[in-house]
Amino acid sequence: MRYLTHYGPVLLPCAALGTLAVSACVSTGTLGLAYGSGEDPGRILREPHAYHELGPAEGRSCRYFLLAIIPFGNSTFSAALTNALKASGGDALLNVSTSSSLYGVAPIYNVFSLTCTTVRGTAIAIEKAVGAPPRSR
Amino acid sequence: MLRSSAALLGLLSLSGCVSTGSVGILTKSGANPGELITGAHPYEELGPTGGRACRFFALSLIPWGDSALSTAVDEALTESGGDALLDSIVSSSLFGFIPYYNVFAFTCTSVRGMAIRFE
Repeated sequence: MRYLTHYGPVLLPCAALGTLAVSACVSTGTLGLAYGSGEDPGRILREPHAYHELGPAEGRSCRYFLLAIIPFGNSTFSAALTNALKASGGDALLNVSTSSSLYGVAPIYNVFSLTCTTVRGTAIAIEKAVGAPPRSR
Repeated sequence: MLRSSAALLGLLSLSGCVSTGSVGILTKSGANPGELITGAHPYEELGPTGGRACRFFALSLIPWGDSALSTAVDEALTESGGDALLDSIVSSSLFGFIPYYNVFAFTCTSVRGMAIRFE
């Protein structure tokens, strides 16, 4: 209470300024498997494939909105997934956690806002179909 | 004159942008998703389906809703009775009403793809 009395005149305006200066919210969810775009992805499911784990991977993609009229960037899940797979050298992510966030800077005047998608999961490299003939050289 | 006034009014009252991309396979969260790859899973195609999830932001202070892709995928698979989506198009959009004063904004994630059910 002593701190509030002492610092209150400084803290309360700072809190009010913070609320007016920045705002944000995030939604989170999970997926089992996310496989990047490729030729006949159904084949990955129809035929058994071996894979090896490459470890945890993360990717992020953002879209920015300046003065509420100038958009740039790409915030799709596919862009975040591509970034995660490129960084890890994988073909797919297992046990994927995805989050979508929206931030605003000086939100009351909508000076700058951004929306980002983040994906995290275990990157895997898929090998050739089990029982498939060896590739000819 | 009327046309340019309407265009200016539109610019001041509504703004939006959309990004689109594609993903090969999306499945719901499960106990062992790796088994989908190591095992053979014949499937039946149920047809095209879609789902959408949105988060809203009123007066730049009051957020509600959920714009995660997993929510859009759950909606698409619940609607179709499927287990996974193939060849999906995912899009992320951001819209603002009276954007100069940030009266109301929302961001949505949409997914459209071929729903499949494992046999």
